[in-house]
Amino acid sequence: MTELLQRMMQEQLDGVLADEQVSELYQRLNEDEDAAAQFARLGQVDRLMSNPPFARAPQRLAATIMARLAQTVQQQTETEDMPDEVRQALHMSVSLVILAMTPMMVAASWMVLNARYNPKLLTRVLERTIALMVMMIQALIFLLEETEQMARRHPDKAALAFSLIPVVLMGMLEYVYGTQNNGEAGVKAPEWVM
Amino acid sequence: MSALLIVLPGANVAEVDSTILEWVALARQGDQDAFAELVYSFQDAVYNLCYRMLGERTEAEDATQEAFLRAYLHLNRYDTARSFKTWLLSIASNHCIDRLRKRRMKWMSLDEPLPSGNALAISSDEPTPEEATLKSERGAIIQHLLDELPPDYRAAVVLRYWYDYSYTEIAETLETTESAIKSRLFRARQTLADKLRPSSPIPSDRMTSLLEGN
Repeated sequence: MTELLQRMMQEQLDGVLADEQVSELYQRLNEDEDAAAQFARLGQVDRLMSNPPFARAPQRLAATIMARLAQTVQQQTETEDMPDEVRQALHMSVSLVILAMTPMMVAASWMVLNARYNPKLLTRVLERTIALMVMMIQALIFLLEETEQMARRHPDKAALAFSLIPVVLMGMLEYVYGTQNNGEAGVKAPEWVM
Repeated sequence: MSALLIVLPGANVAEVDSTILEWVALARQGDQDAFAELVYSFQDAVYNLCYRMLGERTEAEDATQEAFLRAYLHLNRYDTARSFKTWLLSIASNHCIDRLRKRRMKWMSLDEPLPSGNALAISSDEPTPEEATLKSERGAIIQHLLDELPPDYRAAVVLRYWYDYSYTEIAETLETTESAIKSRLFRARQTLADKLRPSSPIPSDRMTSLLEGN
C-alpha cells in the first residue's frame, strides 16, 4: 500500500479529504482488495470510537484541587517571606555542605576500588560506606529542616545557624573517617581527604 | 465573579474566551477564586483525558490535580493568543504520558508481565453513577483497546475522538508536527483494527453488534 493511499484513507476517515480525491480513493480501493479490506477495518475502528462515553469529574475533585493549591501557595509564600540574608545563608550553607561531601564521595570510591580484589572486604566496605552515607544524608536533612524552622522563628539568628551546618557536617565527616580508618584494616581513606 | 461555565468537548470555546481570559488575568495576580472558576469549567475535560489515558479513576484524579497545580504555577507561560483549554490539555496529556512511561519502566524493572486492559479497568472503589455508565460494554471495550496503545498514540486518539480536535490542534496540544500526528493516528487505527480481528480476545458476535449499533 502506498503512502499516498494511506494518507487518503486517513483523511477520508477524518472527513478532511478533498472532494476531488474521494473518487480517486474509491477507485484505488476497487483495484486493490487488500487496501479495501484495510480501509473497511479502519472504518470499523472509526465507528466504534465515534461519540465515545465521556467521564465526568467526581464532585469533590475541584475542592481537592483548590485545597492542594492553597497549601502549595502557602508554602511558597513562607519561603518568599524569608529575609534575603537568610535565604542567602541557606544557599551558601547548602553549597558548603555539597563541597564538604564531595571528598567523602571520592574517598568512598577510592576505598571501594582498593578493596575490589578482596570480595569479603569489599562487601564490608560497601556496607559500611552505604550505611555511613545514608546516616550523613539523613543528618543533613534533619539539620536543614530544623535550621529552617529556627530561621522562621528567629530570622536574626538564621545566618549563624546555617553557617554552623557545614561545621557540624565536617565534624561528622571526621568521625566517620576515623571509624573507617580504624575499623577496616588494609582499606584506609586517602590522607588528602581530611 | 461571572456565572459558572462548564466547557464540555464540542462547546464553542470562542464564545467563552473573553470570560476565560478574564479569569486567567485575575488568577495570574494571585486570585484563587478566579482560578477556581477555571478549575470548575475545565475539570471534566481534563479528568476525562486523564481517565482515558491512564484507565484508572484514582490515578486520573491525582493526575488531574497535578495538571491544574502545574497550570497555576506556570500561568505566566500561557500565551493568551492560544486556547486556554488546549494549553491545559497539553499539560495534562504530557503529564499522563510521563506517568505511563514511568509505569512501564516500573513494570519492566519488576520483570512482571504487563497487566491487561481489564485489570486496569477494575477498581476496588465503589463506582459512581457516571462510572457505571462508563462501564457499559462499549465503554469497557474502548478502554481495553486504548490500553493497548503506546502513550503517544493514545493521546492522539483521545484528543481526536473525545475532543474532536483537528490535526493542527492535536499537534499543538502534544507539541509536535501535523505529519507526526497523522502518522500516529494511522498507526493507532491500524493497531486497533488488528485488535478487532476475529482472533482478538473480544468475542466477535459482541463486537459485531456493537459496531452495528453505531
